[in-house]
Amino acid sequence: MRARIEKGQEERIAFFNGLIEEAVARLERCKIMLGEGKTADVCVVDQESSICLKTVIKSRIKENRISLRNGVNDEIEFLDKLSDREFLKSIGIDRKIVPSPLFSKQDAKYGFLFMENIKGPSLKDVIDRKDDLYKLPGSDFDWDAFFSGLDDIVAKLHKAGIYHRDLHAGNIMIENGLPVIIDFGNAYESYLSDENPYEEEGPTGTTIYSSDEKNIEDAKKQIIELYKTQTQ
Amino acid sequence: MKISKTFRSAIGWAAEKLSEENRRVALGSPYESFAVCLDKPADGESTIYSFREMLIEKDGDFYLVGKNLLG
Repeated sequence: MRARIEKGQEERIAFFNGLIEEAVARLERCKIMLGEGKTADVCVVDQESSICLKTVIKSRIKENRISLRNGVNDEIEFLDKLSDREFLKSIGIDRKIVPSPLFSKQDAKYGFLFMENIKGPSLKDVIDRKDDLYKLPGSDFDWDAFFSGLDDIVAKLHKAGIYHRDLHAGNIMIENGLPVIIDFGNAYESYLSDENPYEEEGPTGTTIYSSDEKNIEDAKKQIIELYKTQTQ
Repeated sequence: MKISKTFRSAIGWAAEKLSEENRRVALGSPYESFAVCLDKPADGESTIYSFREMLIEKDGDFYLVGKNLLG
């Protein structure tokens, strides 16, 4: 019985490894880059695909001297928790706020995370007027409602002890007019009410400081200014 | 390798719909690149699950198939 279960698990791992290999091989032939970060790329083969692949390139973490708290296997746990409707309901959120996750794998060189492809621009795309992949919001878009919705989500996550810690224009997507938060590579869940979630002790005993969520304020200002100019 | 609970739930949701009449059921959005089936597919890769491990009160196994995940 035990041998049968172990064989089954091996076969399952081989199946998912096969899917990763297939995806990587297809991306080598035809790659659409949805997002390019300091440590990871997010790609699809077809823009209309409902699933995308985030590949964390570990050499870039070293090169850029970035302190990344979570591997993809930790990140998928955040996505899982924040996709759980019961959990969201318990903290007062009644809709999707993150992409749905599938599976992840880490090896010595890469981290692979398959997740839902959010079909909409990021706030960075809006600021950069990058409209090659997605139609950008028009001049009638209700930014006040959008940012108020985003503030509400972030406040509720903080109240629940969940801190994104890398919230910037590139990590907020617009889907059907609503905010969806991506990239939980530096997220942190705090279980103590009196700790500072933006300070942590690193492996060598030094204190690592993380970005708080205020970076998003810059994006808000830029977008409001941009749209004010457009409508004048 | 880590399989998300959300994805696992979607597999279970589709597996519950399997029957003699519906021997293949596609997973719901955004997982529509995957399907569950009662018969081992002759071509392509698949992996086997038992209904019981997915907490479905039914004996036997089903197969998960997936292809071209990135479109």
